[in-house]
Amino acid sequence: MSLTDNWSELNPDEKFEARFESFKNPEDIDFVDEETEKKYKQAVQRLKDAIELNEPDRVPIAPNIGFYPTEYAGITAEEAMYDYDKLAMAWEKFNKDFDFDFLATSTMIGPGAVFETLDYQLYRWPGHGTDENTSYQCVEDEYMKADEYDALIADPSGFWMRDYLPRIFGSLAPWSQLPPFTDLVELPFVGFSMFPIGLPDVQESFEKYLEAGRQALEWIQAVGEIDGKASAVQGLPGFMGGVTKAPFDVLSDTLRGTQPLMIDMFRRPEKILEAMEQIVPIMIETGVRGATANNNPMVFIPLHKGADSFMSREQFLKFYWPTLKKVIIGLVEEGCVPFLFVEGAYNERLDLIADPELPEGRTYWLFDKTDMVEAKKHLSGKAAIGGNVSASLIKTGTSEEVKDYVKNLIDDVADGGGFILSTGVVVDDAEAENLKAMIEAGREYGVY
Amino acid sequence: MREELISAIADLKEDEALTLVKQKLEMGETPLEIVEQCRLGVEIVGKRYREEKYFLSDLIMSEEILRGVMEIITPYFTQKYGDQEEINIIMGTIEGDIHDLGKNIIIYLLKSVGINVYDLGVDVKPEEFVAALKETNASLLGISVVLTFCINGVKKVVDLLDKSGLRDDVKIIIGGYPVNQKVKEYTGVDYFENDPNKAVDLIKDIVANEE
Repeated sequence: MSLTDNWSELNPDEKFEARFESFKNPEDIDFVDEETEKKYKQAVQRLKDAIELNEPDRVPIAPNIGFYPTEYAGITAEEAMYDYDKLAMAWEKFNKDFDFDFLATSTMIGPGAVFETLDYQLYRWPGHGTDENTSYQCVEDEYMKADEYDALIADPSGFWMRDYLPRIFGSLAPWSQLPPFTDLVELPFVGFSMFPIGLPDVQESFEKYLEAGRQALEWIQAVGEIDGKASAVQGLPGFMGGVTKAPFDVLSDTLRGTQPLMIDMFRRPEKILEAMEQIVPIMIETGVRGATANNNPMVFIPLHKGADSFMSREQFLKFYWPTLKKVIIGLVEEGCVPFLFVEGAYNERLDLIADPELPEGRTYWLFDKTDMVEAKKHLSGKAAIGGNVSASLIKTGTSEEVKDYVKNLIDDVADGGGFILSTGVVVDDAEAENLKAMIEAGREYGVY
Repeated sequence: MREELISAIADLKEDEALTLVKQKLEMGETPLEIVEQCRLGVEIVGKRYREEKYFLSDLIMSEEILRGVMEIITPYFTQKYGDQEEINIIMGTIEGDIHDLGKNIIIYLLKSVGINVYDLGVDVKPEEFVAALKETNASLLGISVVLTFCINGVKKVVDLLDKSGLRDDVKIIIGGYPVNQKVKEYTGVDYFENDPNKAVDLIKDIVANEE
């Protein structure tokens, strides 16, 4: 899938322009009126200006919203994951009442029915391991064993299908018996390769797989409509096109677990490096595909295990940064905007991520607890920054405190453009007046 | 060789540490002497972490080396080590929350300065905290809470302790991402601390005052 007929002939800057042009003029959104369409385009332009390190008309306002609309609209988190009418009601109400520059997406909540059908082991979610009002949480484990690096490196997709998926989806456990597709090279191989599919437990697992697919289709239609309506009726663009991960985090969050991977850094560093190189093109492709499919160049990359206190600078430079940098460059070459979410703090990394080899005006760093003045100092003229408004402040502070905080933040770092007003973490729990105060302060003090 | 093992542990040299432990056992050194040297090594690891020379990855590796050491020396113990020790603090992550890294860092650092910790793990029900306090007679409780959703669970622990008449005998300290002065007041706990160094100092002081 490509955006233009001559896509392969375009250079990265032309691809960037083409993606934003298409994002700004979406063919599939039927705006209710011209005013709404204008508002939508203005928001996209504001974002583009900020990314390109120019001054927009005002600071773009884009807090990260998680489960908060459930609480706001009076439904449970569990209902949001299972009852799409309630999900629609809650997100519609939230988007309408808060009305910042972008929509709070309903897609990050996820389809409970799909997880249930697949018997998802990697997460606990509302009503299934966590309280009906508590967001989902990851259950870390060694889903890939220390001696399986070679299998992963030789064939990542095969490893995912036959080793990883059977471990994280109870319903797909029989997939450990599947032969790799690469067996299918000549006629005599076909019968041998196909018979495991006929085994009763494998057949049953495929039935579950198909059912999960139908449920996911139902879900994507529902959330597509919710988000689409926020664009068409309220003129709010989405903030995220694709999603991808840093290769180190794929190994750490998804496969090995935090602690085992950290031990691997001491015991088998070469294997980590080799595996991450294999994962680089996979992560680039994932991000680009999402950006293209959703007609939005922003590719979200939540960063986890490279934070200040997790590893040393030397380890960051050896293990975390080189392959993340390749993913960033790969995305930028396809005209996408890596939207890097630094959870925790990167105070000791700012000089490293201000890497002169990264293209200027093509990335967005969302910070949580990183010192924003220092971030601006290091990334000025290189990358857009945002975030830092604390979720605790939004939950426990007063509207005045929030307003003051936002004003000071804008005074400190918004000068000259390249700044996006956002919360430091995803908001699951908040005081409505405080969130509104944040948005109002952005409108008031963020005008250039 | 005593210094060698301490350094090997402190410098996270796994193979060297394990080889030294085996040699020491062959030469007749007692498991308790070896454990003491490991403890001194761990003390240095904890110190380096607190000085920001070491990171989470180093703490984890150090624990892994110790696990290996214990595996080698356990058969040499005639009696289970640590049985008689008094528990200074009960720790756990509150119900509904399964984050364990912050809690584990504090536990590691506390152990490195000689404080005995009883770890209840994650997703711990308020009733379980109370039961553990009764069972061990510990007078300090550390609760980790990372999700704002789960703050009410901490309040419930305090309420249960009130009801059971234990509240005055127990000091409660909380830590975690959303924790601040307001959360402390709301839940009714005694202390809050998000900086691991300060938390360790605080707990050390409380334990020392009791003794």
